[in-house]
Amino acid sequence: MNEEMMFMLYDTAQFLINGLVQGSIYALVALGYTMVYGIIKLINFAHGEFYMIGAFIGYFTITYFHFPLILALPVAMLLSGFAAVIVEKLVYKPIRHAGRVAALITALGVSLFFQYAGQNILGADPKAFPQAMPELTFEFGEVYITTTQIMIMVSTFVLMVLLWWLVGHTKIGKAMRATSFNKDAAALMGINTDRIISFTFFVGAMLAGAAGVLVGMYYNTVEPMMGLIPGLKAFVAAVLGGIGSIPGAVIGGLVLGVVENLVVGFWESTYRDAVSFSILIFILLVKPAGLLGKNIREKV
Amino acid sequence: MSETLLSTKDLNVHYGAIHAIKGIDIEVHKGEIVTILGCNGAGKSTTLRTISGLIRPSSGSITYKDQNIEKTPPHDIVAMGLAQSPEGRLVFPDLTVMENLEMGAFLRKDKPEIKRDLEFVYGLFPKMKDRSKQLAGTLSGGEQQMLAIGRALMSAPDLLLLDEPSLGIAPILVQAIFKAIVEVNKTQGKTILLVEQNAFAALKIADRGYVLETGMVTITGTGHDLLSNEEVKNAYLGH
Ligand SMILES: Nc1ncnc2c1ncn2[C@@H]1O[C@H](COP(=O)(O)OP(=O)(O)OP(=O)(O)O)[C@@H](O)[C@H]1O
Ligand SMILES: [Mg+2]
Repeated sequence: MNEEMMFMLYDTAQFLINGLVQGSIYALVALGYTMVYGIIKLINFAHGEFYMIGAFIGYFTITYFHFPLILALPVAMLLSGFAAVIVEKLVYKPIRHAGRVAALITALGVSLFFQYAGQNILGADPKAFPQAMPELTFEFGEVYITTTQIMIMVSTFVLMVLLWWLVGHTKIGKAMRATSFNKDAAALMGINTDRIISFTFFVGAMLAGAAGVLVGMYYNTVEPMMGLIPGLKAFVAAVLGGIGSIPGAVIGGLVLGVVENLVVGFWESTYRDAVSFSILIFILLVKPAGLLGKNIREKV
Repeated sequence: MSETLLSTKDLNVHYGAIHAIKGIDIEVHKGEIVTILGCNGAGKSTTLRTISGLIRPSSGSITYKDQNIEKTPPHDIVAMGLAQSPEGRLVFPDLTVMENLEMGAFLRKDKPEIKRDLEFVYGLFPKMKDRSKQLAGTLSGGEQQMLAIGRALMSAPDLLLLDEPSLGIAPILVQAIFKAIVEVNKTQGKTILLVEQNAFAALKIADRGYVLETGMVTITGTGHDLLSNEEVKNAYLGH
């Protein structure tokens, strides 16, 4: 093997690793989009804000209360989850029967509210995320992987296993699936569907909150607008995988992360976002059901 | 006359501007099988959905076990012992047969009794036992109907609402389902309110019946009387 090919291989491996790390973040956020969509057919464009909220809670608890990461992460997840439940009860529930366009516009409004309230209260300037764990770099030939990257992939994997167990094997998980199939049928089982809907928001925002903390660690910075672009990317990931499908969100997130990093690495970093949104348009045109979505027409 | 379990008084239901139910009075007594007959769009499903709390009436009252339930949320109505097997069955397709039955018992904590009721459902519909690990979405229409009825029974109801259990099902299975309905009524003492378009089969097993036309009760009587009623014969029994 000549040297050029060797470096090409190293590069590809490096971009794959970076892509899987970025993709893990997208996947965590995409899961919330897809779960909420699955249960109330709402594209919750405010979902990226729970990622921002999680990141800030991580920032505050670690910087000012000196929480260890192992504590900061679950606290950020819980508080992001509660924030989502409050938004759901206060804003989305009253308009649940007002139609999907109204809901979409409301979600955009909620998103702007959090972004500007965040700038007002916390300031628009980025804050340095504290070092939450020792940063080591492992080297394999010319390929590098950091402890933070490993931490991100491991946390994502653990959270996904927990989610798989929750949705597939617990009573409340089955109630979630029953409710997303048909709210009336679920209610006739004695399921309090309002509570299940709130719980779905809670779980989705917990995952986004976790992603926020992990990203804070990764890029060492947090700011109130940070949820905007990753939120949109996660939406692309959810659509790519098939919105409403939980495994689809994971695969869509990972694929998007990898594709983006290959584009950035081999081509031009300025094309990163353009490529993501081209993927969205392409999927919507060619296979709106996404990679794993069922090709069924929507019920009205 | 035995004790009244369910009654509606001057019940009205609107879908926006559509007046679907126009002042219905229905009574169901403990231990009875009561049937509601009517053509497509008469308002049968609307009546059952309103009783279960899935739709709010625009006026009138619904009394179950001497309590007004017209404002009670559906899951609390189930908790009071009022279950429904809905139109179109609506079994949960990506849950197994067994998991569907467990969902029926969602509110219950009495494990031994749940087990006993599960055995009863399996005895009633032996096919469900054979298929217990199969995804409900892969069952035939008739099997899904059995599952929907079994699932409703798993909440241990005192009153069971059944919305067109014979719809779109092979005649041989229809027989099995009507036989099961009678058995549930006779051996378990469950009260049944049965909506049907298969008027003959329904009236044969019913103590009493109501005929619904465009949201109003037009004829009422015992199952026996309705079977020989000229109007019912002409309109619903195809003579
Ligand atoms: N969700 C709805 N929105 C508007 N109108 C409705 C709705 N559901 C039912 N209706 C109308 O209310 C009336 C009664 O409908 P319902 O479904 O109760 O009839 P049904 O007797 O159950 O008929 P079928 O035998 O076809 O099931 C019909 O005119 C129907 O078009
Ligand atoms: Mg009907």
